[in-house]
Amino acid sequence: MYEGPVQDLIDELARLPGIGPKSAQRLAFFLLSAEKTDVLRLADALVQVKEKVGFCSRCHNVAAGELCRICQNPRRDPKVICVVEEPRDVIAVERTQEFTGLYHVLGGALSPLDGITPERLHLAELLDRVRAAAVTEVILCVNPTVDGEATAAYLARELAPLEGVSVSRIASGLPVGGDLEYADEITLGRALAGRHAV
Amino acid sequence: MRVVRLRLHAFRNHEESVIGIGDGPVVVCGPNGAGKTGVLEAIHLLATGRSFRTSDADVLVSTGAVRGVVEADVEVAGGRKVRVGAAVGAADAGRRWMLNGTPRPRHRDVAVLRSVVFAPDDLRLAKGGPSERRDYLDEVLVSVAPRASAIISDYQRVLKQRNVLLRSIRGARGQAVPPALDTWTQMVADKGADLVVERSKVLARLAPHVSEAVAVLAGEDASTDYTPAWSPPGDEAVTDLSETDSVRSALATALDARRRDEIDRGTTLVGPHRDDIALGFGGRDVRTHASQGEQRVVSLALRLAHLAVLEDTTDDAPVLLLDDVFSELDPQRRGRLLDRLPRDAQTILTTTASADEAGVPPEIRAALTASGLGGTGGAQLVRVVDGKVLGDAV
Repeated sequence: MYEGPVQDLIDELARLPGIGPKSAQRLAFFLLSAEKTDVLRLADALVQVKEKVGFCSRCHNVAAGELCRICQNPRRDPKVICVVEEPRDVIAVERTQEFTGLYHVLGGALSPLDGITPERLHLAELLDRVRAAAVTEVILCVNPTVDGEATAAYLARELAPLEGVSVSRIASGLPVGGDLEYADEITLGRALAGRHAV
Repeated sequence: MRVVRLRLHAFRNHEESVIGIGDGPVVVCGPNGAGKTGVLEAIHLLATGRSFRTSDADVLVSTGAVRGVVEADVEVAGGRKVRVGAAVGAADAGRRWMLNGTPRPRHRDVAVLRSVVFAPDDLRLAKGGPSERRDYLDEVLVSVAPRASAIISDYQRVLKQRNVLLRSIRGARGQAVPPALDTWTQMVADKGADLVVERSKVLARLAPHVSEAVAVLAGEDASTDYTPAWSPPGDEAVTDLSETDSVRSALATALDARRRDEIDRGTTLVGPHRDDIALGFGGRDVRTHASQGEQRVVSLALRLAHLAVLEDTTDDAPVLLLDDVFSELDPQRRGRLLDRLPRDAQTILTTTASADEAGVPPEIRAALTASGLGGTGGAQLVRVVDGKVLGDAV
């Protein structure tokens, strides 16, 4: 055990995802030896992120104000909504530059094992949005896991009664630019099973 | 494919054993506890990444040693030679794999060798509960269709999720059933149908080989039928288990019918996690109406069928490992078994049978001679005593 504040810092750092006790110790000693201004800048960033950043009231993406940048952008097509599990998935889809609609962040996927029921996700808000605005297409961009699939199935069921809304789910398959021989057999098997005519 | 050289170092009770293997079948003989099964275990470990005897890594390593090593030179179809190796250590040391002298992180990367093992414990396939036969079927399935491992793990995950949900509903009696239950029920039907279809397809491939093996070994008819533990109410049992859509809707109907029950009991009662394979021997149910000897024949036939299906799939016969297979077969069946051994698959078997002055157990010599087994190379006898190998050709 180290002197009080040092140990406190190590314990706090060790609570971060992906940081074990050894890494926490390394980071703590790095901060101890760093310039005071650098450390204060980090401390300030931590405070700012909690004070200034919240979640978009419409799509639940991270936002610095009431609405996120994407929801504020008038050039985005409000008739198409892409549903993702986490805010970081928004960034992933944005990087494709293929999608010009709006997002809806669920905040996770259904998982009774982790106590995640439909009420814990922003599902009702999505249904309200689709009903209120003239949304014509909902793209379910959830992870290709059992939990993601269940979430998509749940949403598909809830969205089915709404007229004039097409609901689709993204395909899963091989990474582009990768050699077939390096694909794992499960991904390749799934890609084969989901083949389409050319 | 064939193992042409095998090395065991600090593995089980083998301090350092090297076995050079010729063209013919190999008979490993020796007294109890000599280290015969360790030879088979080493090969199977390299083939599957796991021991067929234990999940405890510590017992694989010789007492006093830190790490045990097994290594095999394998000749694959086309005559190419590959060396695969594994180092097993105490729990935290983990397992390391080698391919031609290069370390590889996962067993998958070195999975060149394929083997099917029959061990005395396999009697449970015929005698034990349905889970033994489901596990057997899933093992065969994954070995011939790697994609199936995802189907199996997806189904297990869905089942776990739904059971947690059902338990929470049971805990909150009187309240409305949450809508998420319908979703998880649909998922059980979806993933369950995939699993049922894959299982019934692979069983259909196994069935003729099982019948053939039982006919040869015991002169009886055998039957293998995939038996769902569920059925939609009113309708007769689902007949076509190879059609995903019809299985899915049958599962959905059956789930729907037992929904109340499932909520009361807090667990999923309908689905492939309760299915079974009905095994018949001469028209009788194997589990309840067959003798132990007959059960052993059926278990053995299931393993031989796995070998045949693997061979069809890969076009390169896996290595057949028979552990103490003679112990409960009468002399006639022993002869028939040796007769039935696949000619194109390398066979390595162990026996405690006592040897004659030349070191060959008489019934094995007789059976080998009678069956003409061994081809040009002849059968090879490997004597194991106290973890040491003494080799000799028959």
